[in-house]
Amino acid sequence: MAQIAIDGVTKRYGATEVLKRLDLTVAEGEFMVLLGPSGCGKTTLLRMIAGLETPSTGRILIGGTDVTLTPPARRDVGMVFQSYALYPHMTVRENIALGLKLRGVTQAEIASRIERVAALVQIAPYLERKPKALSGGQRQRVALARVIAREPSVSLMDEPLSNIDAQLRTVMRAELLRIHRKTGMTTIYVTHDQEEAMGLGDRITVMNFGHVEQIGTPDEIYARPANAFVARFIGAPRMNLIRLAHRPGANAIEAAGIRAPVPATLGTLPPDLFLGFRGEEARPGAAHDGEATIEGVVDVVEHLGAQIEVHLRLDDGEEAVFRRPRGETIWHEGERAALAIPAAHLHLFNAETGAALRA
Amino acid sequence: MTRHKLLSLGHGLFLAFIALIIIFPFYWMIASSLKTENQIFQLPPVWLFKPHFASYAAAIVNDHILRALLNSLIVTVGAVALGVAVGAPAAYGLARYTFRGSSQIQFWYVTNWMLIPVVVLIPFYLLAANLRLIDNPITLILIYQTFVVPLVVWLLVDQFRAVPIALEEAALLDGMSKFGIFLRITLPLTVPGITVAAILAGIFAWNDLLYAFILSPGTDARTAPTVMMSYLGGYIIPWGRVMASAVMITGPVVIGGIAIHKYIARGLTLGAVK
Amino acid sequence: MTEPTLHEVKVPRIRQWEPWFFVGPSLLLLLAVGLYPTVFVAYFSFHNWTMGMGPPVFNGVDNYIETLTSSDFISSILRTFLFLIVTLPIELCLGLAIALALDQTRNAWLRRLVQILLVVPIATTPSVVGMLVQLMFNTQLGVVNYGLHVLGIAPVDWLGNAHAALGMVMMTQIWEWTPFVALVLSASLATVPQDIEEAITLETESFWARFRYIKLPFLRPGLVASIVFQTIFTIKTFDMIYSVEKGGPGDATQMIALHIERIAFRGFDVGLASAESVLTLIVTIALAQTVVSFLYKDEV
Repeated sequence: MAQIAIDGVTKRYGATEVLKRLDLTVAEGEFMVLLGPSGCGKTTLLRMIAGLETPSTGRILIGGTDVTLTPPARRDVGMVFQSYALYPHMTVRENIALGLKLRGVTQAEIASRIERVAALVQIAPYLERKPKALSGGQRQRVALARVIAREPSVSLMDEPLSNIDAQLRTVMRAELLRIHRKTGMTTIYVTHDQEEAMGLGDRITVMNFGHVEQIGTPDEIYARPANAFVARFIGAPRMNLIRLAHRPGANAIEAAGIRAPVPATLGTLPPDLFLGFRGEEARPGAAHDGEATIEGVVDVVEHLGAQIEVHLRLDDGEEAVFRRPRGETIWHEGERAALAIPAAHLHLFNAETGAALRA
Repeated sequence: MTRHKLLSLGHGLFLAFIALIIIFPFYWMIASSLKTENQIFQLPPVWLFKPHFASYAAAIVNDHILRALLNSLIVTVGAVALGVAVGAPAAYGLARYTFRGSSQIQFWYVTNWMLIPVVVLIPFYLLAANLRLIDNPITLILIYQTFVVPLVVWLLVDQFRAVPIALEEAALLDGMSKFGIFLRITLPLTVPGITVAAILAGIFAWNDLLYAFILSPGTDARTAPTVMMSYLGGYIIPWGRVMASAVMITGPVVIGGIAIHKYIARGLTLGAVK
Repeated sequence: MTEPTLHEVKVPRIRQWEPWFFVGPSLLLLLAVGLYPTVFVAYFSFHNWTMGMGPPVFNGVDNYIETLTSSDFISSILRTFLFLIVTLPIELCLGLAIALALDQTRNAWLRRLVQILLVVPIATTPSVVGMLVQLMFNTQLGVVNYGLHVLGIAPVDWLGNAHAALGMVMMTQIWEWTPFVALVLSASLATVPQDIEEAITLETESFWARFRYIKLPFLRPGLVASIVFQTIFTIKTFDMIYSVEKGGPGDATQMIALHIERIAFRGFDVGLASAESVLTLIVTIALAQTVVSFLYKDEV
């Protein structure tokens, strides 16, 4: 187990800068998720930690040792590849054993580790099969087993659940957590799926365009997004962000169909703002003191099973989306409706810089 | 890091050495064709010399090399055209239908590709002699089918399979006939693959010596590789002319080979190596 | 209630014949130019017949007995075999080395150059190669002996000495066909998925371990293809050797194909040549079967 430090790392491919002076520390035993849209540099960062890429500037430290130029095999990292990268010509047992054998682990020790790991990830019945004969979920477990058996100080996972179907993905997510709790391996996990990130991470690093947007626990990131990008990226359905103009000196912001109080503690506001709120924090009806109101025409009501999704068209054409419990019959397409949102759940962002405005 | 650099340097040197070994005989051929007869055998070799084109002129005038090149061209184009004309539909049939014997048929082409030329040559010679078809380009065009057809078929089966079947189904619903679909939908989409197969087959047809010098030995009918052999008959070999002819003979096939270099391994192994 | 009768759908005959419209012409052509002559060869092989000397006379298996007891035939078979077992391993090793170097080198320009150059020996007209060999291996005036002289080695009588001539022809064969092996193995190496390569670099730095556990399994089909096809190409080799010295000096470079050609077209003994052809054909067909069963397992 080891701590990982990324210290001012930049990665350039020719003229394109994929990572921009990135700093990040992952604590020993922590499950850190790198989250971001495709092309944000999260996989590049992971591959640099593995040693498959070399940074253009900066240092990478594992357990306090500078490994920036250390060959991958000497870093003591294990990696679960997106495609699993199981050796197709070897059985599951041989796949797991190879890394151990190459590191000089004794035959007896290899056998006992395989047994242990196979039980942990539940692949014991398939040990003599070749990867071709396994289902996606089983391959996933084998890839995981291969890393766990090695007992590396760091385990890296590159979108390991992206190639299996949605149902199995939720099962494997719980499994990953269980295994992480059991082994306590420092884990860096790359994904573009915010739900997966929220479910798995001790902390999440949200990345975009090669830099870090926010680092925090899932709760922090959900409840206090540092900027409009994180606010939009986290949570399903995504946070409603409505563009508003602020007249200087006014104690409230207003737009077509919206009226929201502004806490005095925020100081002077920029003229161009995003008001953010999550649909699930709203309730139907008129606003009380200190609450925001939002009013418009019900555009579409979608049935999602346990919930319904109400799309409200505001007077200036913007749309806000709310999830409401099933069977709530007050929503009629084409009629006007109003909702109230408590001030505690309102977010303001500078529309120009995207930064969250907080008291 | 230094070990890495050293290794990299080693790879580079080795590859450069291989490149040199491959290219040197070629250089020697071209250089000799541009030297005078005296310069050709001068040792140490003359590296810098004024190029001298008399050998080319002599090869053209004395050895009728242009006639031989034309004969080669006729035979090659004829053989490839016939091979593609029968081979492409065959490949399509094998790609799109499974029928009794289809896999046996596909492998029978492989057997033809592996046929040792001299084996079919004897009866073919007797037959051609009987039919007075010695020195007739038709004879070579026909016998070259033993390797042209297998090459074309095996290279095109994969090509045709890669064409989405939905495209053909759409054409079928539009009322096209199966053969019309092959001709107007599938074939145009596989022109690049057909070109590769045609060039590869053409290289083998052009290069053939054994069939050509037995079945088409006449001075006016002989193909370019046979001209090479004709130099051996004389008391003194006119090396300048030989090499000038050699350059003219190999030029087209080397250019053709380079054009399709990515597909050579697949082609020669009839698709066994992807 | 009675079940309604289910009618079998009868597909019109013509539709079952459809594939044959596509495949038929090529089959007829190959039957005519490939199989039909082969049948003739088999027929002649049981007859005593010299070209231009009366009609063939049936003589049972005499030709086969003569062939199998002819030291000339046996020695050209053995020579072909020797030729193969010397050149093939060298071609494989060198081809593998080239393929690995191409795979490893960071110099994209050099890789590209070599990949293109590898085609040159394969595409070059074999009879031209033969003439070039004569020129370059000339005893007094050839550039090869000059090169040896520079290295302080005595000149070799390449074209006159039987052993040297065989060696020369072998070297030429290696020059012509190592690129084929290199290209095939290169293609096999390219089938190693990027992620598998990366997975193993996380495990070991040793080139040997990576080669043995990862590259070699992926190379196996390419190696089999190289061996089988190169064996066939070697048995087929005629043009290059013929244009060097027509199998000479003496019979020093006379391989099986040259031997049959000589019996048939310089000795005009069609019966004997046919018997030799049939025997060669059997070997080839056996090899072709190996190819079919080993290499095209996934096909069709």
